[in-house]
Amino acid sequence: MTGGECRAGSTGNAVMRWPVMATYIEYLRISFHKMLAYRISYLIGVFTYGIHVAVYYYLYKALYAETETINGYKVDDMLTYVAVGWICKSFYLNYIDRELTDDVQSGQVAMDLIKPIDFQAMYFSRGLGHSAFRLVLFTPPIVVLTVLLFSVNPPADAVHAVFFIFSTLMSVLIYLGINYIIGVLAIFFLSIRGVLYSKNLVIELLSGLLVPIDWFPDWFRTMSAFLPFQGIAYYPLAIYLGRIDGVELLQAVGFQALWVVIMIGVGRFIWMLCQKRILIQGG
Amino acid sequence: MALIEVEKLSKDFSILKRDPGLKGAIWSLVRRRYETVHAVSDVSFEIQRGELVGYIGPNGAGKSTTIKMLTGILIPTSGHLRVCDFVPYRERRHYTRNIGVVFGQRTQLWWDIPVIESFNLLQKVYKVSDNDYRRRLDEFKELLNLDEILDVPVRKLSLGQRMRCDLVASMLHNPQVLFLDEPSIGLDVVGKLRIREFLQRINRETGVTMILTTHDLREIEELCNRLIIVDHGRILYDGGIGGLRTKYAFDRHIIFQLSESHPSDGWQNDLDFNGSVRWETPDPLKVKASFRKESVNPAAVISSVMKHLSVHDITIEEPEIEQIIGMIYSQGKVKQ
Amino acid sequence: MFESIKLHVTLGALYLSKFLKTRLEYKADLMLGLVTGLLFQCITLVFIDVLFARQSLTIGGWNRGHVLFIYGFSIFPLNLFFAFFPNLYNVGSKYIIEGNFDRILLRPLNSLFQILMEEVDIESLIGLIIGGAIMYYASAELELVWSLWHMPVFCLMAISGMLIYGGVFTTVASFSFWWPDRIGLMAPLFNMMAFGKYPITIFNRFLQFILMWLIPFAFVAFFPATLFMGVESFYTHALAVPVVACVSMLVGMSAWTLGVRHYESTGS
Repeated sequence: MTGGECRAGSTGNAVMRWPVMATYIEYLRISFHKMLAYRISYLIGVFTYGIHVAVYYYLYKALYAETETINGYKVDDMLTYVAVGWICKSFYLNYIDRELTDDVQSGQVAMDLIKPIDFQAMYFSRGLGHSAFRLVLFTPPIVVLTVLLFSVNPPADAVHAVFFIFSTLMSVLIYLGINYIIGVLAIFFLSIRGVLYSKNLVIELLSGLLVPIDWFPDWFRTMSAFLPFQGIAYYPLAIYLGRIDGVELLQAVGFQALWVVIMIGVGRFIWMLCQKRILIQGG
Repeated sequence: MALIEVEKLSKDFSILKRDPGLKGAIWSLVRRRYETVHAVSDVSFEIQRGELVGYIGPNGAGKSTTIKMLTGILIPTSGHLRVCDFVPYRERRHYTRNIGVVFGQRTQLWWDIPVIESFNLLQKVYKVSDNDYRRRLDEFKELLNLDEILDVPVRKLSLGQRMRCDLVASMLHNPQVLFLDEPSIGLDVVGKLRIREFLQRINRETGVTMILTTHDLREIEELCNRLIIVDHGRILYDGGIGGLRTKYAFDRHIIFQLSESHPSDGWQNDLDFNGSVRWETPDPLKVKASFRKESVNPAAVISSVMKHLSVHDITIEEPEIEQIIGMIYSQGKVKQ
Repeated sequence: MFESIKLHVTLGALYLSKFLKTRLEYKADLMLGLVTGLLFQCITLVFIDVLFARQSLTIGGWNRGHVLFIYGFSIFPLNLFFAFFPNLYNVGSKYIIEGNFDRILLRPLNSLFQILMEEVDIESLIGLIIGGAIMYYASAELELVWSLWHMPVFCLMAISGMLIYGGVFTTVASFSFWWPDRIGLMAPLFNMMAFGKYPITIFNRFLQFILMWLIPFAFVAFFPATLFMGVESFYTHALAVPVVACVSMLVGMSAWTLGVRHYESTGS
């Protein structure tokens, strides 16, 4: 984690590295446990998520009723794209943006600021805790439901499967990076809070979850090339379907890695600016 | 008939028990265990119109739960409850017109709008006539020095300022009973004093009945003519503050500062008072007499000592109310 | 009873004016809200546009014009709901977990009413302009003719849609009384609101059942829109919309009452 590296760099010895990491692992663990406490939310979450997948699945099914191929995607490919896409989302999703604004409102942020920890690394750990919870308890039932009810193809081949897994892990980090930035910004712009609730929709579109990026007109694809979002859904899914091959595989993952670094950097920079304001205003 | 009647009031909560560790947490998704906690058990008292009652007890004694039941927020598990001729939780919306409530821990005002706007809104909510509203607001404004803060949104006020505004908000509709849950928590000395004076004054002038929970016993001593002490959901004491001293019959101490050291021994024999006075000599120039207030006349003790020793100075120590209550708390726990 | 309704109505106006005033004080904030709000309306537009890039495509017999029209209409109930019910989202966190609900209970007014009145999100109404524009465009594509009697029906349908959302989310918000949770319950349902705008005929029976009778979002936009598009086979459903709205609100308010009673017996 970035925070771990940053700390280790400043203290400069290996002995310090582990205790620092342990702190963040603890945050991850606590966040995992917190999710477990909400039993009903969990059950409702699985139920509504299942419906969510089904709605988009049938939407595409209806779209393909009269034709075999649209924009180079066969029916099977597209339905797999939708199903796997939503399965992945059930894993990389987190709510740290909302947690961050809640913490500011309740004054918890002041308590975190006086602790010798890296603020961003702490929220990342909490976000990873969410994802860990989802991987263990949320995604499996969704996978079972989806595979049983709908027709889903397996990954293109073993190489693509490996790259797909790696690419999905990257999408977790990109999503975390974006959410962190939005959360920090929302501290200062009250009205973004309303937007927070529907921001998922924007990310769903820009990431290529709703429609594959290569269905879009040229201007949109050019824009996407300069934005982090397609690293969240489109790349992992295109890899899964085997639409990306050879050197392009590395390019796709490289694109994701680059954006992870940028998002973390931007997040740190914005926090640095905002932290001053928090300290001045007193939270 | 008493204004507040509480009879055998009890409140139980069931609390989720969670096993430690990951395994326990995952288990809790499927199976949950609950444990019953008796927050208030078998509490009975009556409060007459105009009384100013202190309701005290250590943290977790069940004070807030009782206040919540009295204000209609919580429904009792069992028991009988009647305030201003209402059963609070049953007719809550009518009942709340008759009471005012102040929570020290959180404000009742709207966070984002200026104080005066909150007050104006409350006037309408409680259907206070324009005349009454203006009269009361003017009076409170003066008493609590509110002029400068009325146009400020609540979130920008200091704790003391916010508390003063909350007090006004709770009194605008001229309630019959005012509930104050730790009204002075976190305030400085001046702030506390100001609130104390305000409460005394409105109690005297409007005859509003007040129930006050606090950890500040000075406040109780100055304000309340009656004290109810609770712990573990039970009443340990109900009566005046003076009565507390008599009932719990604590020692009184007289300390004599001597001008020359006392004889090493023998002198106490003449001052025995049939064994009801204990003597201590912490150092050669100091003698301490401890005895029960009702069994020995302190004047007699002083004059006898004066006859035998050369006394330079005399201090009489009454037990502090803190000590008495501390003892009641610890005894209460022993009884459990 | 009548007296009480009168009091609530006058107070409602008063509450709204006060909170609106504070909202207008933060001008930069308001502008930002408006701009982002408009941006969000465009997202689905892009989605529909990309799906129907080939003019000949239809979904379940509905063409691009139909889908756009339904979407344009769906913006009305959705944004009305966002404008007047935003505080339902905070019931679990701000009111129950942080204990502000006690304050609500100490006032001689209906508790749900108080919570709804304490926050309005007026900038959501800007979306209605976009909704109108989309409907105008789609009407031209579908060659629909509007007449005067459409207007009151339109308003009735939009408000009914808002109330359906209101009822469903009041029910969900009431769950927080039993299972207080900061985000878990509301968020997944918020995402489901989008489903009201797709033609229900494309789904399988199970989904149709859920979107009509369990979470009746199909009545929010799809059925009312068919009325204006002149699809006669759904007229009965469209006429049922106000009834569904009443039932939805009734369920919501009952759940709320039960929730408050639970809160009163357990505290938080």
